[in-house]
Amino acid sequence: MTLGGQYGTVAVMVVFGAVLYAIIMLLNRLMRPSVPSPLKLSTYECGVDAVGSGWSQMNIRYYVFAFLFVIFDVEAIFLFPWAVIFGDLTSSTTPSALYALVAMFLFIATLLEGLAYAWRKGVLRWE
Amino acid sequence: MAIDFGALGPEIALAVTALVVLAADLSLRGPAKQLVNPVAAAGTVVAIALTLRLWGDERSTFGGTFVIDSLALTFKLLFLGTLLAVLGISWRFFAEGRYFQGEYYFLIVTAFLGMVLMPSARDLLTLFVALETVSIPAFVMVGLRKRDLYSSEASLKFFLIGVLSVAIMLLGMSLVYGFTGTTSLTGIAEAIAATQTPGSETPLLLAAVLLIVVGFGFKVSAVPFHFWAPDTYAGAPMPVTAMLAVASKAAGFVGLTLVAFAAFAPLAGAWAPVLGVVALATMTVGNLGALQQRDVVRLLAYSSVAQAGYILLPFGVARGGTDALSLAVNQTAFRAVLLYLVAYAVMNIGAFAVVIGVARRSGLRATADYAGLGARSPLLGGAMTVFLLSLGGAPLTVGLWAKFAIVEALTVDVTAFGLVLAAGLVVNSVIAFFYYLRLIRGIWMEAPAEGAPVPQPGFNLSLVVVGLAALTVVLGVLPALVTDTTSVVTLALGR
Amino acid sequence: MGETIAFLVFAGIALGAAVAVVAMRNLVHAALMLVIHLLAVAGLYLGLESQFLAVIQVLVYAGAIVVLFLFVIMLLGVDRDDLLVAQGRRAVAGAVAVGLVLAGALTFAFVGPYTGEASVCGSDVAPTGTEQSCAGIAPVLDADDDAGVAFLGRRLFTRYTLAFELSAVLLTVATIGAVVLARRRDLSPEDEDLPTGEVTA
Repeated sequence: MTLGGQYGTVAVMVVFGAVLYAIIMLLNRLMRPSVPSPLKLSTYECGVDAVGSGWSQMNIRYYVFAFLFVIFDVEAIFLFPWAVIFGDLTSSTTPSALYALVAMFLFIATLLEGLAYAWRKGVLRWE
Repeated sequence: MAIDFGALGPEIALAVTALVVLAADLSLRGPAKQLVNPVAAAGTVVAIALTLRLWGDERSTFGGTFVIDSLALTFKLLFLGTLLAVLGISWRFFAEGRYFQGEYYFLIVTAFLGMVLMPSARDLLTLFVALETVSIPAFVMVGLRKRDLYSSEASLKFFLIGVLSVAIMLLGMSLVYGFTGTTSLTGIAEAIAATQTPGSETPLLLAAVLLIVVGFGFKVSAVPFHFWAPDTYAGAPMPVTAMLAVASKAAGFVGLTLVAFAAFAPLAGAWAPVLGVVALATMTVGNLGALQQRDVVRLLAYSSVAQAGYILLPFGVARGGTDALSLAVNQTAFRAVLLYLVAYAVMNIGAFAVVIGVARRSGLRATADYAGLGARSPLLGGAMTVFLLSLGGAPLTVGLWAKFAIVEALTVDVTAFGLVLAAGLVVNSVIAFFYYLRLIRGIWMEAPAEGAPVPQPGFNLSLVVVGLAALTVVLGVLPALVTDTTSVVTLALGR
Repeated sequence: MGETIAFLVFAGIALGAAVAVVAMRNLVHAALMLVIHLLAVAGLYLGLESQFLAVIQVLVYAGAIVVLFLFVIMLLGVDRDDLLVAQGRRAVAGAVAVGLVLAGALTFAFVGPYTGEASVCGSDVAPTGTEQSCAGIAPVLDADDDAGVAFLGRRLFTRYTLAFELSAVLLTVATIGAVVLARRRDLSPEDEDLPTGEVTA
């Protein structure tokens, strides 16, 4: 199957999913009783009345975690091409297997030093 | 593919130094943290030794993306020497301020790693990563004084404008890649020469080149992209300001030189007039701005905007042809840029070192605080006089020869535009002398304010100041020391 | 045909979402519109048969980076009225004007000469239809049949290893920058984070 054909399948799936969703929601709407009340629109918080609004200020510690997530996400992206070619590498190919291995581990080790820094400075602690 | 690790020596040394500095920061406590400064300095000395070992070699590795030649080695030495000077003036500043020492030294070594790589890069991608390695640590370093709102503002402005310029530059680079199918600088030049007829170039390509040039314009704070410079320079910790004003700017110029002369030389007919006009505007705006400043750091910031204009001037006369005259014009222009960058690094780092010495403990940095400095501290006053005279281009200083080289480059082949640029340089030098001399007059002629403190520069800072002042005068008397070295630097293109 | 439809759909979504990002009053809604925009761009990459890039776009941009955006928005507190400073009419008009001029210039440069049959590659040089005159792109494409991840991997570990290792240093610098920004004094037992704005004795 050609590439376009494969995406055609995906497109059909997407359209089919959307239509199915629309039909089910439509059926739902037709069959359910409609009794609106303000209580139904309030936030459900384990049965207890909600305190304040959902827009509260967050702790900056979340930011550090989100940032580290981005950093290591990018690292993972670099791992993919490496993993794909690594199986075909031997000592006689260009690049050689050892070279690719060392290069990747240098990369990871450098990032780990950054992580060690964050850990040592206590931003990963949650107290 | 064998990697020529010997050619990578200086970069490897600096990278290892940076990582060791970070590790040392994590393991040392309290006052012992000051030790990261000598560690960084030792790594720099090793890198300098490795650079000198390569002297005279012509090597290339990583498929020609990394090249060692006279151009690369000259700039590597310039940057490493600057790093040593910056480390010298940082010692007391950060040891007494006691904030983020380990981080600072890691970041500054990393930034210089990018600079050292820059003149060796012969590939758009490597060039871009090197440029980012210069910028991103600088964003953090400018904001290191977290509790100081000015520092935060400086960092934010610098970051936003820097990121914008990078985005613009990347768009241009990707278009150039899409057009030529290669990221190698020589490959791009060949592809352009093969597909373009002078005078009717594809608009797409011209737009791409312009986008890249604009990106570098931000880096070197050329008008109209100079707005960040004064605020950022004034708000950053002062050693960082010295680094930004000299090394970071020089790195931007190296990148611009490589891209302009190596990759886009065939299109010089399009970008040269643009850069010439930008140069005129930059030096005029910088000098007129400097005239009104009452804060020495802001004065030096505007002055460095003006200096960027001088350095841009030779780009204005570059030519796209391949005949002997065009090549001679380009070669002279390129050499003038190189010579001016060397001179600029020596005198401007020196000026910032004096400012740090005066501001230490007292925090005084208004021009009025320099009244009677010569009487209070003959060392700092005398050195500042030398640096300011040199920045102005007075005889017996290296600044004169740097300006002379630019005029020479502008008049290799006499054209109307070249003469206009040269006239602009002369007029601006006169304006610049006005505010440099005003400061010098304050240092020697005016009485110090009541109870003005006597600056007590530390040993390292005094060493840097004296060394740079001596270098300014020695190179001013014996310019052959630089011109002979730089004359062997030809515009060798990547292989 | 299918490709053109896909392009038009994704480009339309991307443009509309981009406008919405700027126009939304609520910053969280703007960030969610950004997700839609980034996903649509990933769709455009798919249309260009660059699957790996599309996956990166979803993973890193639509995933990680927008999450970071949302954290920062929540950190600032979205319900603060002072965040939504109303811009003056002139500022808005100026921004729109600059945007239009930029868009016009880029459109002129990109699209102007290439509407119709001519492709971006060397419309001036190869009007015969071979479309091969882009100096380097044809050999690059020929040399690599399994374009994509493997090609990227081989390039990464031959020509661009230096840039690759340097990007690790860059990411570390970014980590340190984030930690320096986010560190609070109560978290640091060490004395180096004193609020010393100026150098003092």
